Amino acid sequence: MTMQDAPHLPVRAVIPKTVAIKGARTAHDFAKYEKTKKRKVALRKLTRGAIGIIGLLVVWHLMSVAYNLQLILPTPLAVLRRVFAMLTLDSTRWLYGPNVYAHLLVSFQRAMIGFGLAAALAIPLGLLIGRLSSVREYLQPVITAFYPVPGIAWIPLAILWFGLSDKAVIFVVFMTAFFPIYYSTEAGARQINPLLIDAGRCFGANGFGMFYHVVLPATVPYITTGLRIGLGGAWRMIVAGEMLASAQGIGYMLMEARFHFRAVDLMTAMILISIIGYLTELLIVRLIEKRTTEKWEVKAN
Amino acid sequence: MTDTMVAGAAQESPIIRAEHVDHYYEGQSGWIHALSDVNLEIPRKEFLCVIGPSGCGKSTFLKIVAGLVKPSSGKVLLNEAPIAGPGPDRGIVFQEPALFAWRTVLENVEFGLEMQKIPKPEARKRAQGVLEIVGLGHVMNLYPYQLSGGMRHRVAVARAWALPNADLLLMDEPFSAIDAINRMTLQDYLIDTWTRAKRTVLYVTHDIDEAVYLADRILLMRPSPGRIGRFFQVDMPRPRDRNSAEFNALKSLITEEMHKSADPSEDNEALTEHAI
Repeated sequence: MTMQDAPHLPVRAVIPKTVAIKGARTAHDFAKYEKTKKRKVALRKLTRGAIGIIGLLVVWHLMSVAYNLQLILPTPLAVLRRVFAMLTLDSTRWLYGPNVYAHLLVSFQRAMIGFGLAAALAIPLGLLIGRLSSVREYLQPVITAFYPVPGIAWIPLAILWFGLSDKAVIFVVFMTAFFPIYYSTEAGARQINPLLIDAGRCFGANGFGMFYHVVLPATVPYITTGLRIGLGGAWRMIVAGEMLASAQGIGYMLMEARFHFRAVDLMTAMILISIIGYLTELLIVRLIEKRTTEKWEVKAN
Repeated sequence: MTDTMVAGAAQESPIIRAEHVDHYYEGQSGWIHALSDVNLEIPRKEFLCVIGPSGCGKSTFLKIVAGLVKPSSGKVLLNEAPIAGPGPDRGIVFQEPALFAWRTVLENVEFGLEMQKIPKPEARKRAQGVLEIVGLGHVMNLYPYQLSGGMRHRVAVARAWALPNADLLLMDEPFSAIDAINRMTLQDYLIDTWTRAKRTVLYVTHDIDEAVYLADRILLMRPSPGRIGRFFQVDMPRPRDRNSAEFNALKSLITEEMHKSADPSEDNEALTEHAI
């Protein structure tokens, strides 16, 4: 029935149909229902993810076997066995110097130093340039000029400056990790709700106190995004840098594996990078997020 | 002015003295004359409500007193000294709670004290005391996102109230985003807190009922350009009864005046005193 049918009744009360309920339902029942539903959704997500990965492995395996490509495309199982062998220090056909952990450690140290220096410079600089127009006017052009130069382009110059050393690799990692951290931080600092700055000023915050107690925490969601991108960049760059400018590290291992025509070792090294990259992301970025944005329930908008 | 009045002024000088304040700012369609020749004195410990239609410059005036906006011309004196900028000698409550999401309720209230380098134990004790008064003692260690909207506004009031040297409290429509029932509760908390330890309050609102319920004196401002309209002295004892004839008579009077003031043909009736 529409409103036109009953012009004398301008307002009609809509009485909802009662839902048939078997027995009394309590909040506890609903909570239990919601919990099972959540678990189901989580399980479904996991299953679908697993299907994707397994699908990839199956295609990979079939390609390898069907076209007899074991030499350049070893089967997933062969690679998995090789990962296991390397990590348990099995010395069969080990062609790369001390052992895999030594290479991983060298790469890890270089990545962390380069990334750490980048964060230590990019975060304060991003906050200052984001908030203070005088600093922005001086430094923005400098940063803008360097930004389009890809990290990899710095490698030859880094070799010229630092030789085939740790420093050269750390330098290119720094150049790569710096920009995403800086740009995220700067954008976040610029976008802080002006009301929070006003509140800070009215309650007596100024100078360093304002930056430490208001600007920095308000920018954290953006900083973590920058750190995540910067860390990914650092791991990509470490490999490129070590391929060209170092005699140790996981990138060096990759290059050596190519010279020895060991595709299985190449793929193993790639998997190790993926694992260690994921672990550092978990240890650094996720830990920061757990202690900040997740605790405060804030997000970058 | 006689000599005796000048002598008396030294002792009982107003906390705020605004002289010939004019303010312009650039809006979306050209420059706006937000305030025109505003002259105002606020005596110590007065609860002054500033009311008026939107565009009457009431929030602009509050921001000038807060030090967040510099007037285009004229001067505003706080304790007879020009206002150089914002500072913890004035407490402020914004329209939104504007709490720091990364601090617990207690840490939010402690913020102003911390910035003034007040020793931690003393700051903590003071903040806890204020939170107890506004009825938030049980949620001190929660983060703002865990609170209801009304509670967040109470934290914002507590944060301003906890400032030890703030004789002046600036409130910019602090409860306008709150539903009617909760707003009344918050008003009661505010009046209760104010009665315990009186300070000067400059309270901007567009809600006539709220103004009559809270204020010692009401200033009605007129729009375009924003300027002083009329003052209403409110002498009813607190807590006030919203249903009393007196309360409603004053409400209708102000409503009528406000409608008149929105009409540009009614002009230059400034500074007439009205007492009820």
